Amino acid sequence: MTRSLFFFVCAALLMACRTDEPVKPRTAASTLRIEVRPEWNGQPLQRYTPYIAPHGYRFQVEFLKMYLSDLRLVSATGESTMEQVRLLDLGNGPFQFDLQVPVGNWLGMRAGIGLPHDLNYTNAALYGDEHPMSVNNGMYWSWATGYKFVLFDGRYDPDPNGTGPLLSTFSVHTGMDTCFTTAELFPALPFGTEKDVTTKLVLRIAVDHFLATPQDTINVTTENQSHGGNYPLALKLTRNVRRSMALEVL
Amino acid sequence: MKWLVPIAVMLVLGGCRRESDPDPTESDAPFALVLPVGFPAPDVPADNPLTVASTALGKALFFDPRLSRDGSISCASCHFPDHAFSDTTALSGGVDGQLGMRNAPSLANVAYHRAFFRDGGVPTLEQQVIAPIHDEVEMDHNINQVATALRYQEPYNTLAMKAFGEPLNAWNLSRAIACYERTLISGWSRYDRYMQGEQTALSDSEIRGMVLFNNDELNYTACHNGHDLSDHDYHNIGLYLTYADVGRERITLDPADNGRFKTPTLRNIARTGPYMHDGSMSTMEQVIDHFASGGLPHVNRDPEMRTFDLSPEQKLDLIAFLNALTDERTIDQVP
Repeated sequence: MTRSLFFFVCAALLMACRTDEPVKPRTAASTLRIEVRPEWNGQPLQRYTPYIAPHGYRFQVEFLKMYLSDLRLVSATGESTMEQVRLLDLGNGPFQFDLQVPVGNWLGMRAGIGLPHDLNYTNAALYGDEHPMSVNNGMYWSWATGYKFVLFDGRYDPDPNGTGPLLSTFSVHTGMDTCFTTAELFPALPFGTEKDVTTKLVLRIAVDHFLATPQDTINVTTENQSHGGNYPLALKLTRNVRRSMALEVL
Repeated sequence: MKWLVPIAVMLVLGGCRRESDPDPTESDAPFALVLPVGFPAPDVPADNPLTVASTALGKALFFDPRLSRDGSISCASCHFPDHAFSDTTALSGGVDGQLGMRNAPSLANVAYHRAFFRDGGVPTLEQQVIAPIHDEVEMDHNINQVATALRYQEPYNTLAMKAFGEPLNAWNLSRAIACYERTLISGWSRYDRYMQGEQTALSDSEIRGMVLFNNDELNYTACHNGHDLSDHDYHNIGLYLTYADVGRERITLDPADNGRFKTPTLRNIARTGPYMHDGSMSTMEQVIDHFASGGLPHVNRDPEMRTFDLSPEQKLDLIAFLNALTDERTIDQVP
């Protein structure tokens, strides 16, 4: 009697103050560890370090954040949702996060870059301090009720021969429904997730490609400001961000 | 081990409540919103009903300068109750004396608006609450930090528990202020009494002004119509040839929306100057002269903008009528 009462007390105490944590899918039995590596020319990205941008201008990254949403694993027969939204802060070097996923064989991942409409226009006051969509993260446009999908701030030198400090500001914040896009992340080989085993993937993000891909080049001296306006630039950055991401199996 | 039973019961029952918390099961009463004759019931979100506690909580927050970073600016600092909850200066001042980019509009009848701010960038009153708190030239604060700082202070703790069954947080802070703002109903002017059949409510001059107002040539009613004397739509009235503030285009990114701003209500117009989105006109005479000119030929100028001529007497009559749109009682229904 005493023993059963003790277990009841413990259970009741544990349950009494539970917050509403998301319920994990019942089929989740495996861990997927994704290491995010922001890079510039194949090397780890360093903030406040002058790099060479297209057309030879010196450029440094100061703040770089982006949302991934509706993260899904893709198999030959369907998809499995892993996470609703994650904020990637790419300015502080490599980092990793774990996702609970079902056991299976997978071809790759799909993830929205930005937030889908319904999520983007919810009341931001809903999200507490630790939530990726908290207003604390500096990603919310309160005047337009929506989130910045990619926040890319830096500085450049408009003089291609300059050697002094970088003073001119580059600030491109994409957002609004039209800038929402989906990244198709398929590694060279399929991968599996096994019960009680952590599968490791690397998500490389080539930040130098944000400014230049074979299809779209951003001239930082003439294309450097977008805050819900300047759609051509916002869309150009959106396309380049999508092209800059690659998934590898470790 | 018998001692374990009472301890367990106490722990379970007391585990998640502070002693000072009011009883969350205490009932809250619906707020009895009084509507003027002919006004429809405003849409109220199902998850944010008007209650006595939620509106009282919203009112207390509305007038609290602790919503701003340095404790100097409340909502009421730019939305004065005596001026139909509008500002008296062209551009409202925020923390550190910074100026905003637009004239703070009247909050009268915002319960009927389809979108908020002069460009309609925000679809709900609840979401609107976040913007001035976070705007660095307004309150320059953070709604989560505000809620945390005020959470266990009175009257917020008691009212939030009663209204929402939980302590103050950002979510119910935004809902409470929205509740209060929905109660700011304007529709008790002499004009309203006249329209309800009280023939002596308006003077002869005011009646002549009303006839002019409704005249198709002046065409005011193309946009200023309905019980709120506003279509709540967006128009370019040819105020500038080049707009420093692009207006609705800021939200839609459509050049056709350049210079378009939401039609303001004309209710309490005598108390809501200065006028226009940027407060650039200080008198009703200036506004009437602008409309009489048809506005500047901006590419997006609304086709409803027409030139017209008024004699000095007619202009006085029109202004007299506009003055009769002032509420004769406070529009604040929350005690």
